[in-house]
Amino acid sequence: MSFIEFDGVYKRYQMGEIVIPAADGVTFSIEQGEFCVITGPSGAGKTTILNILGGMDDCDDGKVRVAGDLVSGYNRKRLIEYRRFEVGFVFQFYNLVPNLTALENVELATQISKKSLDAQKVLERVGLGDRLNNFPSQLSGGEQQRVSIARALAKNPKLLLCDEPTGALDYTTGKQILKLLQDTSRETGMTVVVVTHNQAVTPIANRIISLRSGRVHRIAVNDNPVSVERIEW
Amino acid sequence: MSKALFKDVFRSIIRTRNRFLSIAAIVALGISVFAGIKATAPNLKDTAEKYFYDYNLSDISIVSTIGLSENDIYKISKVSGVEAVMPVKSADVFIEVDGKKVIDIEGAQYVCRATSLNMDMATAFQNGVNDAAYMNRPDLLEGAYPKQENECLIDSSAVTSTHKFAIGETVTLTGDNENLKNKLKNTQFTIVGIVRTPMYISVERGNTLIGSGKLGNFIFIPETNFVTDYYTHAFISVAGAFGYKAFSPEYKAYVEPVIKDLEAISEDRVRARAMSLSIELAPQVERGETELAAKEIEAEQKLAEARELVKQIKYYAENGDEELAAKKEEFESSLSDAQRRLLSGRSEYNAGLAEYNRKLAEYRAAKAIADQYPNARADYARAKYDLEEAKKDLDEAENALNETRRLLDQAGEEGNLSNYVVVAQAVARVLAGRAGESISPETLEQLQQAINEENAQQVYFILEGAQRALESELNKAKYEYQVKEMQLEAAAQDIKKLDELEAAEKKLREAELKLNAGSSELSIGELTLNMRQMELKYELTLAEEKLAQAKAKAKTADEEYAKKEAEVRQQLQNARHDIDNAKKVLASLDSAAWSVDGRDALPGHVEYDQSADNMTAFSAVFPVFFFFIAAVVSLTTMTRMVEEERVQLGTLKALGYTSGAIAAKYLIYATLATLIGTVLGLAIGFVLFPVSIYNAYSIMFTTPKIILAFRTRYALIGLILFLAAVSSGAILACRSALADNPSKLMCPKAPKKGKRVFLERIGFIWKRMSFNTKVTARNLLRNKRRFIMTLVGISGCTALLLTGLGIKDSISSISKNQFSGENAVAKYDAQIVLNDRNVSGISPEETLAGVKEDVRVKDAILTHMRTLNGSSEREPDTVLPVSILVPGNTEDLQNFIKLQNRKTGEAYTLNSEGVLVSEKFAAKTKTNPGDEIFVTLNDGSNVNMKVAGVVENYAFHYIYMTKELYTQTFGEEPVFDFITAKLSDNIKSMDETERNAEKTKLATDLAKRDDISVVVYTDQAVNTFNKLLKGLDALVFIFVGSAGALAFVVLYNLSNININERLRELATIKVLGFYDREVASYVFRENILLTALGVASGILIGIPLHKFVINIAEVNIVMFGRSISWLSMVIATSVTVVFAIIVNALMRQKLKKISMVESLKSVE
Repeated sequence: MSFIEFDGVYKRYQMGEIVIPAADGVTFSIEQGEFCVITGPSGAGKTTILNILGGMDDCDDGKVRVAGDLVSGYNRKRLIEYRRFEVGFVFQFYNLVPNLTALENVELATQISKKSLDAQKVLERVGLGDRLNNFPSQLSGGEQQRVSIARALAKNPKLLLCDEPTGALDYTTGKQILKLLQDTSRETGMTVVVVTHNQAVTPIANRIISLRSGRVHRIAVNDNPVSVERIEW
Repeated sequence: MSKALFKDVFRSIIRTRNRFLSIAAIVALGISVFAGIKATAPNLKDTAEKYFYDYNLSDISIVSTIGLSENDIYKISKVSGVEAVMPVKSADVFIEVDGKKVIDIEGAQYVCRATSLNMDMATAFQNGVNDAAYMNRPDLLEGAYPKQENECLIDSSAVTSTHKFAIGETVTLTGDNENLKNKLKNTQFTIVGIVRTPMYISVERGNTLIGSGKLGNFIFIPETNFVTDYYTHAFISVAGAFGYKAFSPEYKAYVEPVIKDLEAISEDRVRARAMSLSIELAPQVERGETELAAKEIEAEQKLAEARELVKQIKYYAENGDEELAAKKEEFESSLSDAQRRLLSGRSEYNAGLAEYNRKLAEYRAAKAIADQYPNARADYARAKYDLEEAKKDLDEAENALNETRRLLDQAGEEGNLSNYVVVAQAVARVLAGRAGESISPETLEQLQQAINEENAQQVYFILEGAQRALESELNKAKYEYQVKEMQLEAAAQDIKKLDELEAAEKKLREAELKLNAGSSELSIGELTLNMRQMELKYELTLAEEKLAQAKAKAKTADEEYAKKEAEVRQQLQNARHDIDNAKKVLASLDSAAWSVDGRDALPGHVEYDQSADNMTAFSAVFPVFFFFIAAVVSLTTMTRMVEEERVQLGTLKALGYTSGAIAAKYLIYATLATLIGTVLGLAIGFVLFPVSIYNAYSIMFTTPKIILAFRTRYALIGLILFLAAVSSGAILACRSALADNPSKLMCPKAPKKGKRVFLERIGFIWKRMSFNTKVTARNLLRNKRRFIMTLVGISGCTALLLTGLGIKDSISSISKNQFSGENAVAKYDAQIVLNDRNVSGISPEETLAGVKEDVRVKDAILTHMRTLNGSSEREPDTVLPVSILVPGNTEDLQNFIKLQNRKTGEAYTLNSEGVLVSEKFAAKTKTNPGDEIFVTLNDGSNVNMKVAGVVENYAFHYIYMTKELYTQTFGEEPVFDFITAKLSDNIKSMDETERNAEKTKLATDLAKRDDISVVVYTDQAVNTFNKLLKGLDALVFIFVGSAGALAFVVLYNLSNININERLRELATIKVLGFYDREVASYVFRENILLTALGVASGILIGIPLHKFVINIAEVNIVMFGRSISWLSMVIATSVTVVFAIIVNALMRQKLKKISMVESLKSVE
């Protein structure tokens, strides 16, 4: 029984008369502690899968299991709880609350979960110990993303989901972020799923799921993931 | 603009219809308030103007102190500019219904103006003729025009009357110290119709010369009722005057010259009239005086006679008893006489009866005895016959014997036979006569034989024998005779018995006769007695009746006399009044003058105009607020819209569209929203506001229904203003965006910088604040514009609610502050109206003493009240009707009326240094303590008074002065015609039903007195006020409604924008796993705080706003309470909070629906 199981998941969108299947029978599984990368061209359905996995969206058909629980069958309230306690999400565009400081942004997440970690410590862990009281507008893109990651990590979730985390960042900063994610996965044994269209990133992952046109094209398992410093794009 | 862009506009309208409609809504609200209130004043004025035109309100009215003659009317009509003159006769009278005087709510007699109605003109008008000479036409609201002389039309408004007049009632008019018959044919009229007339546009009816000085209502009576030969008023219509707007200065300027011209002819006319009056009246007065003197003497005589008569009647009544008693005795005694007589008669009769019975018994006894001898008479007769026979026999026998003896003797002597023969023959003859008896035939034979034988011896022997036989026969006959005699005696005795019987019978008959006589006498006597009894009884009854009648008559004799006396005195009084009035007229001739006035002098005319103008003032302030809100709301909304579409904007710009074309979309959007809002707003506002305000004013004014005109001017102004506001908002919103270059636009907008809140600098507070509180604080202050907007919206709502509710408080507190509250101005409970002392003969002081004795009255003072027009030097144009009140006892006044300054709390004591005036009067005439005010007397002269203080007062206007000052000021002593009284604590502590019953009983008891007319309780004034002020509910409702609409629209809009702006943020926290309620409170914590702040500031704004509105809306005769009750504050707060909660609830739904996926997808 894998940690994450997707079983024939369909997600269709109705656009007038046309039905667009964002996810067209997606089946895969991810083991616990893996660093998984989901890639594919634009419109392949990567974000859709991540959204479903993150409890932000539901599927029309199929089953989704996380740690044995049938997430696809969750009702609204249960989904909130799922998001609250078990998932950490990192967005492409950080989505920090501009009116709150870095520390407060992380506290926003730690407030709602008893098993969360100390906000300050997490921020220190991501290397922002001296930027606690700065507003997002006073932070660089990378720093903002790190705050975002800290926010996600501070919740102490089972699962860390990242949607194009380096999409808005430059090469160096992007690598820094990836390194952070990789280290987190290695050190804490957290299952990390990263969605990206950048194929060059795939070597650092334990598992690579390729999507094409809403379907799983290929699943590759990497026994020897490469360290982030070693990849170039 | 391209077709595609066009499509875009319409699609976006439909897509964001909530936003579109919210702009329309706020515009609708704003413009309805703006246009509605602005239209009210002209609508009110137009309504009045149409009313004046349709019912031909006169332009000028002329009143002369000595009346107008036909000639005067003619001369008036000849003045240039005068189109028509309508002369009118009127009389100011008191009014009675069902024998009871009608009283106003202050306790004074209600005064009515009986005005002549030209029935021909009225009928012509009904048939559609529009005669310019028929002015001040009655507008028939209910009922019909009079068909008979003794029918009348009555005023539709009688606000200060305690009696409600109705069709079908009969009213009786009485004069004030004058004989109405001198003026009117009839004094009793049946109400057949209810009317209003443009002459009296407000419920104020102005002043009068009689009674307390306040005119209550009017009635129209057919002109033919007036028997006077002069007119009291002349109403003039100025040619072309209706071409000017009523109330306008142009109108006044147009009419002014005609007024001046009329004034110019007045002097001559007055002199002429004075002259003719003098000629007419002076001799009349003289004659009248002498006649009256004579009549008075005559009357006294007649009265004295009548008194005598009464005395007699009374005497008879009193002494009648004695007479009756005497008569009774007489009767009794005569009766007893008769009875006695009867009794004796009876006893006589009884005696007679007894005798009769005795005699009867005797008779019976006699009869019994006599019956034993039924044949007694016969026996006696027989016995007598027998006796006679016996006597005969005896005689015969004797004779025979004697014969025989003689013969024998003869014979003896002769001794010869021959003698014996002869004798024997003789004797034989004799014996033959006795044959058969003592002499037997044989003897005779023997004798014969012997004779024949001539046996003398034998013969002698036989003869001797015969003689012996004869002797024995004789003895027998004697014995027989004796027996028969005895028998006869016996029979006679028997006869005697019969005789006795006869006698007894006779006696009996006699007795019977006597008895019968006696009996019939007795019957007669009895009959006589009965008859006599009946007669006497009848007489007695008659006498008793007569006495009773006399007694009754005696009882009423006094009353009747009193009535007759009153009648006579009344007549004398009338005559006296007539003479006095004529004298007064003569006295006034020197100072006689005309009073030529324009419409401003009509009661309520100027007030109406002012009230309409007040609305104009109101409309300058009130709608501005809404306008401002509308502008800012639209700005905020459009800004939001532009922000949301900035990418599109940039794209279009990049494509090469001009800024103008792009901005056009938003302009069209905004304009369309404004247009829709305007249409809706005008439709509502032009109707709702004028009607509600009219209804509110209709308690003070009697005008036809308000005309609702579409005020194009205001509609356009409003449209332009709001269009400007909204589109400038749209343009402003676009401008900054359009200024940027396309690429920048297409990039996500830099998120707003976080900023430190000032609160953070206060370290120890900041540290203690919870995370949520910090978040809220930051959020609140992040968008200052929205913060202020919401604050303004909420506080505006609260302020408006508070004002609206406060108005209600202020109004309802009038009666509380004036009459019924704990600390009321009027501490008294009742006004007792006194009768004229000349009629009752009792002085007011005596009456006061009498009233004070009643346990139900705690305390009382005498008062005099007189209403005149008052003004001040500073504000001579402000003329207000003010009641001068003079207490009988100066020190006591403060126990009955609170004499205190409301603002400073200073308590005044009334003294002769100056007068105390009521607050509103002082305010309106800009009078302060130390200043002078004046009142205008009936002859037009002004009397000045110095003001010593300003007292709190809420209803009507008062001047309080001491009686000394009054005498000094007016040159005459005040006549005390009222008693102001407080009820006992006992009555006041009763429960309502008991208290009312006691009060009614007290009123009835007091009214029975000759010196008291009627009792009016302050309750009545309270009731009247409460009824009056119900009409203002509509106004309050407007406020509350507007407030609610405002709050709702603003809050909804702003909350919407708030959420839209933070979609990304909200979606993020949803992703983080915030529960729905946590998401909601993340947003609403700010709202709650804003609401709290808004309510607080709303209250702070509302209090002065309320004061402002009160000052504008106040009507002249009352002073609205200045304070708002706690309850109103609570309600205002609660309602605002409720609206906030409703908005929050709606927003909650929106929050729930936020799609995380959608919100986080877009690039920003």
